[in-house]
Amino acid sequence: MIHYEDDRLLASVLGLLSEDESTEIIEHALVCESCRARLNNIKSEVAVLGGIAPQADLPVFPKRRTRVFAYSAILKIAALLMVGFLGGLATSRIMSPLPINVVPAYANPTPPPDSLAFFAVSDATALKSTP
Amino acid sequence: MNDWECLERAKRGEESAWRTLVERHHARLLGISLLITGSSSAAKDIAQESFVRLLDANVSHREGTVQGLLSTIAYRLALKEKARGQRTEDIAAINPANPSPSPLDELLAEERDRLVAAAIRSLDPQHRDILVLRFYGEHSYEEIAGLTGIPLGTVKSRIFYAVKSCQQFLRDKGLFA
Repeated sequence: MIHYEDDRLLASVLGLLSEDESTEIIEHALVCESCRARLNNIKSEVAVLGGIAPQADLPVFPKRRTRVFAYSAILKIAALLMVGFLGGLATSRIMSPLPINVVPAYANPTPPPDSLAFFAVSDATALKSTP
Repeated sequence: MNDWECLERAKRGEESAWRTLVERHHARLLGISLLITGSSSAAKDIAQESFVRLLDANVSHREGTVQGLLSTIAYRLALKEKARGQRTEDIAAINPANPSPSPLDELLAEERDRLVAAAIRSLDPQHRDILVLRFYGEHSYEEIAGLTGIPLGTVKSRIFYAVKSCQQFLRDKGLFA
C-alpha cells in the first residue's frame, strides 16, 4: 500500500490542498492505519500550535458615558452662548437706541471761612489803596 | 446571542453584552498581541484597546466576523507596538529547564504554552505573522493575503514552513515526539 508523506499530510491538515486531494487523503486514512495515526498526530500538533491560552484579567467596560456626557455638555454650553449672542444682536438691531441725557455736574466749592479767598477782590484793592 | 448582536448592544452601553464579547475573544487577542510583540504588558494593553476601538468603530455592515475585526485591530496595534520596540520580554530566551519568574508567567501559566510561544517567537516575523493570523486570528488565507499585502501562494508556503519549523523546535525541546 502507498503511504502519504508527512508533508503531504501536513498540507492537508493546513487546508493547502485542493478539495479532491484532501478527500483522497481522508479516504486513504480510513483504510490505512499508519497514515491515519500520522494524520491524527499532525492534527494534534497543529492544534497545540494554535492552542496557547494566555490568562489575564478581563478588561473592564469602558466608561463611554462620561465621554458622551462631556461632549454633550460642551455642545449645550456652546449652543447657549450662541443663542445668547444672536438674541442680543437681534435685540440691538430691532430696538431704537435710547437717547443719552448727560447732565453736567458743576462744582460748587464752598470756600473755607478762614482763608484769604473769603475776601472779595474789592476788599483787597481797598487794602492796597490804603496808605 | 451572536457576536454582532453583542456588539450592537455593547455600543448602546449594555455591559453584559460587552462582557460576553470579551469572554469569547480576549484570550485570542492576547495570543495575537503577545506572539507579535513578545511583551506581556503590551499584550494586555493591546487586547483591551482592541475592544475599545471596536466599540468606537463605525461598523455599518456585518461582513466577516467580529472575531476577524478584533484580530485585525489587535494585529495592527501589535505591529505599531513592535515598531516602537519599547517593550519586549523575549519569549524565545525562556529556558524551561531553569524557570525564573517573569512577566510572561502571569500570562502563560502552562509550561507547554510557554514552549509553544517560544517556538512561534523563534520564527522570523514574516512567517510568524502568517501563522499568528491563521491560528489565532482565524483568518482565511485569502484574508491574510489581503491584510498583509502578500500574494496568496506566498502566504500558503509561509504557513507551511512556519508550522514545520515550530514542529522541529518543539521536537528538539521534547514536547513533540
